Amino acid sequence: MSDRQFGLVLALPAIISLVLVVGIPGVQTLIYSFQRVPLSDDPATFVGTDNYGKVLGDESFVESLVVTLQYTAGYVLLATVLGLLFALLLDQPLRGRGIARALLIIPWATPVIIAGVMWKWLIDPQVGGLNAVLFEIGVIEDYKPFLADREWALVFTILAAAWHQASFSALLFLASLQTLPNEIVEAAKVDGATAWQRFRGVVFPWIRPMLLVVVVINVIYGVLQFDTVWVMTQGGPGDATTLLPILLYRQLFIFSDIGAGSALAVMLGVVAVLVSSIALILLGRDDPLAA
Amino acid sequence: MGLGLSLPAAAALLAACSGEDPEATRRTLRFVGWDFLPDTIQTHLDTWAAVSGGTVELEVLPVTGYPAAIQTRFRGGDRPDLFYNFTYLLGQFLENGWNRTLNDLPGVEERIDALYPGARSRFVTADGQITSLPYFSAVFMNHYNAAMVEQAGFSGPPQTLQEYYDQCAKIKADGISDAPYESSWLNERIEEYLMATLLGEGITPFDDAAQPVFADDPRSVDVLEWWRAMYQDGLTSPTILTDDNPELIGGMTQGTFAFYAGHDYWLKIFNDVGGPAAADLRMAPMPGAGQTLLAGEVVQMGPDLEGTALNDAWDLLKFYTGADNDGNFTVPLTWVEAAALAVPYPSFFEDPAIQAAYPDYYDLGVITSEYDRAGTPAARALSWYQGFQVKVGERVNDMLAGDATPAETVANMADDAVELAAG
Amino acid sequence: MASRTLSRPVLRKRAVTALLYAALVLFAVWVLFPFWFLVNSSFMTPAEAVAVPPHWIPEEPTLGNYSAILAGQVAPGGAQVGLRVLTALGESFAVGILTVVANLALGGTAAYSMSRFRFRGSRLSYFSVLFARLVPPIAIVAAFFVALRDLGLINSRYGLVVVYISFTLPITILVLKNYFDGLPRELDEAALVDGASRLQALWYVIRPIARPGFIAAACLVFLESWGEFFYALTLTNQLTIPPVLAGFRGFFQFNWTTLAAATVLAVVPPVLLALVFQRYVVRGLAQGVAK
Repeated sequence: MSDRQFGLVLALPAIISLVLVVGIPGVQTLIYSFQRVPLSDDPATFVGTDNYGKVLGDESFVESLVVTLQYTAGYVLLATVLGLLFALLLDQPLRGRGIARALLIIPWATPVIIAGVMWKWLIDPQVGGLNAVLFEIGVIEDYKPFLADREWALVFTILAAAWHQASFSALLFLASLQTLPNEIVEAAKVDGATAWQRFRGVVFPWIRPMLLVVVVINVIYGVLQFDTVWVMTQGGPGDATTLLPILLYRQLFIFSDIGAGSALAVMLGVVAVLVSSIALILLGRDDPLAA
Repeated sequence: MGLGLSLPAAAALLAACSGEDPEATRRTLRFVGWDFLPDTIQTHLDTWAAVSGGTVELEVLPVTGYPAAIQTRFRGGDRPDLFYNFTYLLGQFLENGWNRTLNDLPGVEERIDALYPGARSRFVTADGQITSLPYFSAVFMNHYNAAMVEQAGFSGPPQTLQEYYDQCAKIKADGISDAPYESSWLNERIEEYLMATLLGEGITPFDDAAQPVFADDPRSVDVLEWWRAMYQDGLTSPTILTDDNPELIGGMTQGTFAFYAGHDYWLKIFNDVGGPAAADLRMAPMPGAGQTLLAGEVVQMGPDLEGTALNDAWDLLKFYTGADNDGNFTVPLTWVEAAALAVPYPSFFEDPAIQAAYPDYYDLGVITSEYDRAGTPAARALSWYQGFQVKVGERVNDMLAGDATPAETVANMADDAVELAAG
Repeated sequence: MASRTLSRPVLRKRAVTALLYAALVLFAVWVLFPFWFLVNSSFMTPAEAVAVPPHWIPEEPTLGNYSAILAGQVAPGGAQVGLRVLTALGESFAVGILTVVANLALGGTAAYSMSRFRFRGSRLSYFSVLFARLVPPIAIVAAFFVALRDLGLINSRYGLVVVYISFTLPITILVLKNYFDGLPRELDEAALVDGASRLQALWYVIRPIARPGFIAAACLVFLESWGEFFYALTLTNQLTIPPVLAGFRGFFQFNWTTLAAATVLAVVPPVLLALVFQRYVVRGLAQGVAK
């Protein structure tokens, strides 16, 4: 068996599994997006690009797209940067590091749907602890109804989801940092490099591949975000937090339009690919997948 | 010809009617409900099974996400025999053939006739198809903090929308409450509030052909003017557009809000949770002399029933949604005890056991008089209506945000309804 | 003069250390502040939980919420929690472990192959792995339902594992491929020179060295599966813990305190697991790459 064949054999079980559990339903969604799909037993009929016209022609799509992009930008930035900072911190030989690493797990172990419920409770203008604390330390003069405000609502739905996700990012960064050979860092120290220089010159290049992975994952999670926002605001106030997946939910389970919903799902995938690509270009590497 | 198709059905009917070997078509029924007192649901199913000799299995799903979960089941060809459903899904289920209509079942007419007249349109479509029976019902009421209203110098709760505004303004001006008014204005739920307010003002929202005639009534604009003023003048909970149950319960029992407009079972929840203001909370009819909005959800029958299984399912459905064969409201009684939920039959409120089960702070005279004038637009059970609920949420939010005038909002909502109804 | 020049680096070092500990405190606040209110509420009565302003510690602490869950009673506020929370925790655990095992087996081999071998379509399969994560669950849940129903796997832990592979396997492959990319190829080559087959090289040389990567991937997959809500909602009858927790948000009930207690119980097992894994991560490192 040649190396090529061996490689293929090794990868085959995973590829077959993914074709079965993602490929087939994914292709079906793609087909549905060009069909009118009745929920009764009648057969589906092809309608060309009507569903896409319907989705794109709806003014709420454009508004929702803007909100989704804002949301994703904030979410990716927060979840990635905080995750990196946490990982660098927890990689230091500090007392209590073991406990801190256990703490890191807490947000990630909290189901996202509960993270949403919890944050909504936390920022409540009456019973919420955040207002009480900000008031006590003098940051605010009056309890703020954060979810009454369109911008704040977006900020806190981002925070709630990023609270969960930053730990995920940190865990990935930590795994990468732990493979960094100590000698390289020590050598840089001996050469008199400052902490910042060591980070720029040694640590960052080492974790860079992982950074790209984390960013791509966070972009996908950001664009597909649903549970947290749904339990916090159901897209409100108004359409301030109506992300594309919330539109998708409405399309499929309220308007019960499987064709239009599938078209929207396809658009959602396109948005995620585009945003990931932009993020990767910004990180200075146009082809992240070249090993 | 159609003969081939109808043959199995005819055979089943024959087997059921001829009385030979009923066990042949008897099977374990599947009952799907949502997560409210699941142990009690199980007890009821066990009780029914013991009396009838049938068997039934319970499957429980969480309320959060129930619409998605139950629709996914039906789309995937999994059709339970009896299931809870939300009223706004009735039209769509009927259109898809996901529920069995009840018209041919023995005694169903008596059930429907025993309903409050205003409740009928929830369970019977305009063309006479009986889709469901009540799991529970509620009427829209105005909950208020009597101490706050009194402190502001009013002798009682508001009778009109203008008085409502004035009382809130005075309560706020006097510093009694910063946010006197609370309701459920969370996106899709706004539609229910709109209907309650329109009906209260005596406005007909939809005509018999489900046309949005509220747009022709100038008072509809007045209702929205009032609505906008309440919000923009800061008389509502600032987070009223995203508030959910915990926020409103906390706000009422702690004395943050003076009013909560919503279903009549809330008074019991407020009292059960308790808090410094709980004892001051009372309930009054919604302002306006028109109709009260009837709310509540339903139990439906799956499409795959025949023979003895059908008889069993019908027996269980009757037991679960009203009086049992002895005339006792066995199942509804437990929902009253747990959460003050009603079923919309006059005989229910006349039952001494039911009357005794309501807490003392419920004035059943007020509630039954509200049921007497309660109604719900028939359009609400049509399949396009859920889309309308989304649209109303968007339109009203735009208006509250200052992006549209009340007159524009009324016109836009009417256009939405016409467009959605046309498909 | 001499003493000052001597003490400067010492002072500097102390300042840095102080800063690091300050950062550690901030990190703990970020994690624990939202979580504190949850833990706090779990020891309160429903009435105290909505007190204005919020209580920082329960004034009348109660174990009622926990005892209701553990003994299957009716909780304060009227929730019939039964023993469903404990059963669901057990199911969540089983689903998580099975998902991890499937992921490491399928994803480990595939990631190694994609990292080491070039075969026809290897780039394409890596792309499609990424693409797989882009399919929104809301859009494809109906397809899963039909498939699982045909297989008799509705409301089954095995059914959930199959579905969970769809969104965890891409993550596993991404993480592990990146990890393998960081391992020097000389390791494989040295093993092959020593006469080991390629499979033996993978099993005896790469697998032990890649342990930190495997453990990180296992952690991520386990927790992803632990908190998953939407599929568990639609494909089972409250089999795992997230849909059971969601059930506490009923519309005739107010179960914040019971929900809080159940959530605390739901977060404890993964955190304990992570504490155990922690040692393995460190040990794997000591034996592995750092040499």
